[in-house]
Formats: sequence, C-alpha cells, structure tokens
Amino acid sequence: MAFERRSRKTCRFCENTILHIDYKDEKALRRYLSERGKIVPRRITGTCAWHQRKLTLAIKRGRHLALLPFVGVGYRR
Amino acid sequence: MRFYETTIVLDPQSEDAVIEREVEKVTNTIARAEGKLVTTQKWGVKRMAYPIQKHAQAHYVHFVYQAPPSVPGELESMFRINETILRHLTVLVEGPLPKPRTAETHGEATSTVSGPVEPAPAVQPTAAPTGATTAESSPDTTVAVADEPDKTS
Repeated sequence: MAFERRSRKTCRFCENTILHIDYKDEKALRRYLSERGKIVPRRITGTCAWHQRKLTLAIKRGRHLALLPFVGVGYRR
Repeated sequence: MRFYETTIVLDPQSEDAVIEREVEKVTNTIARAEGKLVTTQKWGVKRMAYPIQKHAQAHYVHFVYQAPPSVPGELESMFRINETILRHLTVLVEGPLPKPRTAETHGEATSTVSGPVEPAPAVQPTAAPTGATTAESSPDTTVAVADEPDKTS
C-alpha cells in the first residue's frame, strides 16, 4: 500500500515541519491522489486539517498545470 | 512589491525561438514595471498528466520574481490572447522562495515532503536569500503549532 501501517497515523507534514506544500512537486503530491485521481481523505492519510487544506490547494494548482491528473489514466472515458 | 511565481505551459510544437520570445515578453513586462526577476527556469518538454488541446506534452517555463501588484494582471491578459500558451498560473510566493528544480533534484524534492529522514531542508536553504521571506514564514510556524491539537480529531 501507498501508506505504511502505523499504530497511530500522524501528519507527515507536521512530522517534518513542512510549512509550504509545493504544487510543482508532482511526485510528492501524487501519493495523496488515489488511482482514480481523487484526493485521498485525511482520515486515510492521517494528515492534519491544516496541512490537508494546504495539500488540497497544491494539488488543485498542480492539476491546472497538468502536472497532476484530474482523472487517473485508465479511468478516463 | 511582492514575490510571485508564474508557470506557463507552452505548445510543444513551437520552436525554441518562439519559446525564447515568450520568455522575453514576460521578462520585459516585469522589467518595465521595475520588478526584479529572481529566477527563470525552463523545465523542458514534459509529459502532461492529461492532454490539453490534444497535446500530450508541453514546454514548461517557471519564473520567480518580485514585482508591483499590477504585473500579474498584465501577464494574465498577455497570456490569454496568446495561443502558444496552453496554461498559466501565477501565485504569490508564501514563505521561502521556491528552490530551482533540476532534472533530478526532483527525486530529492520528493523526500522533503514525504521522507521521514530530513525535516529541515525544505524550510532552511531558501530562507536565506531574502529577509522579507523569512519574516513571512515565521507567522506560519505559529499557526502550524497551534493547529497540532487538531490532529486528534
């Protein structure tokens, strides 16, 4: 699975004290997208609310520039 | 004067000279408004996550600059009438100035977000170039800390 099992899920961004999530870093952002291209909810990833908001914005910016998909390859009609 | 970053996505079929000209146009617009260009970076031809106007790939050019607030609007209207520009995005730079990304600092950049190993590099290296941005990033620190109790929910 994309996210390793932990006893208690914690926010990866808080752990690494990351304050700014870069929309240009598509490789890092891709792990927060499902195969279908949906943003993975924080209930699954353990991201805190504050970072999830930043993350969402970054993903949406990335999508606009076609760095990230709106719909995953293979799910397009 | 504020810091902005602009990314433009250009038609992959356009020649180098055309791209050069577009880059120049942006540079000139910034210069005319007495802004300061910090970095210009060509990412080259990249595969896009989805096709735009039937193109599977595109040229990406990324600018970081300091300019008066009139500039982004000016650039925007310029980009809109330009058909070689498929997409464009201008955002305010928050916190440290974005690091230039080389072909494979790309992998390194991944680790700053997801790798549990090195916490600091994402924040520190770029905080140096300008005093203004360091000041900007500090209020955020307090927000992040204040928010931490929220994790339990």
